Amino acid sequence: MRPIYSLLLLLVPFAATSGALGQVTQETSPGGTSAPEYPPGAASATDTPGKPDSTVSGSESKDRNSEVEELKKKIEAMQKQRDADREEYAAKFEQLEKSSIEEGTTQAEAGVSGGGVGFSGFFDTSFMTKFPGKGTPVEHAMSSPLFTIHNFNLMATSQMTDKISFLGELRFTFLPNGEEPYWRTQDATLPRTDTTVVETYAQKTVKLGGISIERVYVKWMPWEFFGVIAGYYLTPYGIWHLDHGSPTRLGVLHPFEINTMVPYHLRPMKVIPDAQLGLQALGRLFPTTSLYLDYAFTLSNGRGPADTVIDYDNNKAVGLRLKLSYLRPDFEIALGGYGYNGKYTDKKVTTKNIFPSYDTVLSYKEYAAAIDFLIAFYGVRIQAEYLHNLVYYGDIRPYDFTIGGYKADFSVDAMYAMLSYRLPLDSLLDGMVLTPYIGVAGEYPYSVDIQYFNAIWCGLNFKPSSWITIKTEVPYLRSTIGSKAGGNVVKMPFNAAYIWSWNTQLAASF
Amino acid sequence: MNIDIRTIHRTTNMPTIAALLLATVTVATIAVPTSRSAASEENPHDILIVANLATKVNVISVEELRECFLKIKKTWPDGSRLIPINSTQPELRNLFRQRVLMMSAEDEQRYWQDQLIRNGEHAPPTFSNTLKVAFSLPGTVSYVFRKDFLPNVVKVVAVIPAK
Repeated sequence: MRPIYSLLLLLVPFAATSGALGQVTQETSPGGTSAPEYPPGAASATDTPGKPDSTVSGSESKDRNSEVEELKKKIEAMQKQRDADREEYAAKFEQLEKSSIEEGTTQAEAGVSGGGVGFSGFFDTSFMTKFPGKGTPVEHAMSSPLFTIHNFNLMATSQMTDKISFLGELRFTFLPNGEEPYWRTQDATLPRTDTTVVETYAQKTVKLGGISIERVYVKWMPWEFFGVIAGYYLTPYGIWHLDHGSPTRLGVLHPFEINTMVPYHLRPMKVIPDAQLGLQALGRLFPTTSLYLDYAFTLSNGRGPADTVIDYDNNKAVGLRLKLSYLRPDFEIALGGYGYNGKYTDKKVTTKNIFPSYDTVLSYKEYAAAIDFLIAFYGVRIQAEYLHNLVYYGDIRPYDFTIGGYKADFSVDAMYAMLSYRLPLDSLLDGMVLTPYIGVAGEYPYSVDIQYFNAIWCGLNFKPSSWITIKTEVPYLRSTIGSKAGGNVVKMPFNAAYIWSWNTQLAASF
Repeated sequence: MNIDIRTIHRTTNMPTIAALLLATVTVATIAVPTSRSAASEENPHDILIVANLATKVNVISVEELRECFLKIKKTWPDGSRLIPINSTQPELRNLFRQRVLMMSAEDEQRYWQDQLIRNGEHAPPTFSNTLKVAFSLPGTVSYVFRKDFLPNVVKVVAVIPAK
């Protein structure tokens, strides 16, 4: 028997150990959190005093009843104490509020509601120089180095109520001063816009610039899964486009200038409109933690010669955006898409017998789509986008001088991909961030006249502080111009142009 | 476990005494970490995630908390508005940023600069007395050190251990 007692005594510490480990394990649950402490003394949901066990003897039943009664009294006393504590602390807080030197209500301070406007913005200045290829038509064009300002944007935001907010953004620009027409098909002297005016009494000259409304809208979000934007909003597509500002974007220049040549008015046009005027229904859904689905449905005037002022057709443009994202601290992946359908109509206005008459001069339907992909892990970031646009002319086709005929329906594909790596030098650089990047891009319009663009670039993005970004990049752009005659591609004499550039930009947010 | 001491005395011999001493030493050794773990539960620098008493949520995970404070998620599960509030206490704020947001101060600031440009979203406001805000403003979620916590005023929905 003696060894048995010895064995039992040895087992005692192991029983105590398992109890201690259980407590430690409970402390370190996954995610580093533990459930909130259960208030001491309060009744448990499972501690429901029920009927006495009929199999228990009478005296034991009486003991249990008395225990239950005692517990009930204790609970009541603790609840009274809790309520008294609440009143005491509420009184203390009320006293603090009255004596506080902070202004406004807590709601307004918390930005939940109350109006008030917050101003912010961003600005960038760049140094650019080009090295066009010898013997190409661009050899003598745009080759002088220059300093330039692309953006000086001012944003105003306001949270009017907990469900209604406002956002407006203005872009200040030196344009239209110095603007030259983008393209002419016939030999001519290109006029340049000059907005210089003289302030006679101030004895100085001023070159007037311009103000462009980037976006302005009111957003109503009664629920996270559904809300409405009314106004002029950025088209919800892509990564580069929605990054929007130079401090946010990785590189200096847009990966591709998406120019769909519409010869009638010879203005560059984006594959998908930058912004639209109308309504947008949007929302976010959370299938699981860290996974969310964004959607947006757009309804707008679409594109036109003055689409923010007048819509020359009854057709409204529609679009649909879907984006699935998975976001963790050290890993992110997202896949999105946007589809757009609209009609472009241009009319000239003449007066006949004092009444205005509108005659359609250009009209086409367009279908556009965009796909974007992003993956980021441990400082590596890969982003890519693909855009496609189809244009179908109706009965009124523009005349194309380059081919001596009327322009055919056409499509354009544009794409880019960028790879960047945030160097793990945070401790060495004392919080500053250094990110080298490379990118490739291509634009392939399919039409009678052919103009392919291919680009490759590499650069460095440096953030010395959270407010300043300095970038420098070297792009190489190559374009091939030709035309189809009888189904065969005929390369024109100036069939290829290539340009090396060096661009450096300083961007600041404020 | 009930041990009959009289039986132990009657059958005591040298090997049994040695076993008893060994067991005693073992229990004493193991008991110390237990009391230490009890002390870590009451670490005054544990971060208590607090919410307004009217909030129907009782538990929130670190991942959900991160989404709230980065404004990826803006409502509680019942659809009511979620209002994250940061603290102005540097030590508390830094610890919360490291343990929940998993960002440096500079990265957090860059994140909010980008969010402001992309969609006009501002960083959560900061208050010196986060308990006061959580008490008076429905929908609020914020954080305090355990040593600054006042019971029965706000509810605790998560605990971030100090270590």
